Amino acid sequence: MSKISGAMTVETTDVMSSAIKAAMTRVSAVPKSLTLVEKISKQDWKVWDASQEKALVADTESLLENFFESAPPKVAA
Amino acid sequence: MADDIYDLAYYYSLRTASRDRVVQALNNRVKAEGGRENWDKLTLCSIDKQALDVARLEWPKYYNSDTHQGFPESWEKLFFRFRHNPAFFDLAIWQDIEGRKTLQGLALGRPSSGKKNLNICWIERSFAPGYFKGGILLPILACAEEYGKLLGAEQIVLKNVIDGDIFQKYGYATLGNPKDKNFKKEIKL
Repeated sequence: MSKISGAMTVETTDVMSSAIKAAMTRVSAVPKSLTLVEKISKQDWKVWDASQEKALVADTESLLENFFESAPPKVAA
Repeated sequence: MADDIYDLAYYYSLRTASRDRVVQALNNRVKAEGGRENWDKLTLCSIDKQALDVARLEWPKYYNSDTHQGFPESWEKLFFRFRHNPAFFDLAIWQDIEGRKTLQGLALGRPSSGKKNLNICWIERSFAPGYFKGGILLPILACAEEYGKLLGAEQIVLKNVIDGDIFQKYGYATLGNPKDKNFKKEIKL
């Protein structure tokens, strides 16, 4: 494959188009279901106030891991 | 290299689709039931350099004993750790407040090696004035769940939450061990 620094080659564009098409196929294939937003009750939605929530998640244990573990399963083209 | 580009584009598209679903859901709900003031002028997008700069330069100005003192690693380091996995999960939540783009929250995660779980490993809200009533958790968890569904994951795992009580209202629970700081939720289609 040709390498042109900083530019998109024809091959790269084709690969990306193929990937995006596959992703859209996947999106269409997964049945739409209620999102978390839609599952909030009407009562809760009416009085919703999350401004005081301490929204923090800190997986400090993972900092000790070898992060370069096996990549996810390859996506079929 | 073609495989790398393919995977990057594929999973990026899935993340974008998951955010679209959540934005649509928020818009529809606000139109039907009100509450616009809680969600007004929000943008859900990928983490970029601007978000990393704000997290590094602005957020620490508002850390104190009531908030937290920041994470052991910068968001920049965390982001580059996670980004090598094309299937990683990321989200930046911005809000336009009086014409000023304000970073309200960041999140990072990754699927487990078998894709059974989508692990959400880092979430941080802004503690600066002007934090919005909607809060970052609903959009973050909603996006994570939608992305998890697209990946074919069975559950979302929140790894080491700081205040576990607040996650229960979003449907997350531990396995019952009081020392367990991981909260989980099955994703049902």
